[in-house]
Amino acid sequence: MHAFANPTQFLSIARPLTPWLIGLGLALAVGGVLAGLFIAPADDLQGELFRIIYVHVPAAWLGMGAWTGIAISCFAFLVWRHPLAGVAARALAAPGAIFAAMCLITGSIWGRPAWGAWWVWDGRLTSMLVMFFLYLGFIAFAKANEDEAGGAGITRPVAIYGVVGAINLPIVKYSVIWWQSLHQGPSLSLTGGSSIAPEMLWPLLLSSAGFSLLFGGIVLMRMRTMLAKQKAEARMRRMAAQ
Amino acid sequence: MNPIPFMIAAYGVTFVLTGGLLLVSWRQMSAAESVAKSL
Repeated sequence: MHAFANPTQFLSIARPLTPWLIGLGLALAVGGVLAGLFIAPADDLQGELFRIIYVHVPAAWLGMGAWTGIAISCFAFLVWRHPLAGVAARALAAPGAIFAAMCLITGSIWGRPAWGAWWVWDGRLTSMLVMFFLYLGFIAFAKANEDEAGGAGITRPVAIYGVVGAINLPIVKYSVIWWQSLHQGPSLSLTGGSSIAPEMLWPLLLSSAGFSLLFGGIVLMRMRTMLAKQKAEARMRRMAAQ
Repeated sequence: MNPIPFMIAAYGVTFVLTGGLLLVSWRQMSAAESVAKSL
């Protein structure tokens, strides 16, 4: 981890890695989506409508995954004072918010014909909406503390918010088990296999991998932007002092 | 209910949000790194 603590060393890895993540991510995401639209068979109950899964599920996973990243980064900031942890947390926030919004919007579009309602206040939808508001809060809080944070990216209170906000992650995940919900229950797990037919599953995994790589590329671009701005500001301060 | 308009809407939103995020992030990065390099 300390190999990445030096911004120069981090940038020497991030610069060549960024186009690979974007290129491979686009290829896999487009491939997964096209396979989901044209190769996967129609669902028994929902027919063609179920194909929204190939954008809705990756958005949901990344909407939650980004906050996992924020919580880990904020923890690293608080415990080890990792110099890039705060920058990483801020870089994750806006893309995480956008993917959470994408999950909510595509889910709502799916819900209208499937459930007859654009929105219901059930556990899964409500907790995901709370997640979206948590993102907006983090972005606003970090921005308000920008001057005080300086090169660190965030301050201690912002980092504590990032860690505490992770309490919502198991609530989103287990909401469909704990409470009665219109939303489908868990059909994929890392340990318990899948209840989705294989011919429907592989495009989903491909699409998810593609969007994840794209997300990684976007986060790296945002980190590079923040580090470049910090470098420019430091140079201008030195020039003004001379 | 015809599912096609809903599928077009869902994929359209995904394309616009993901594409927009990629484009904005890339443009901001290019501008910031260009300024930092010139100083």
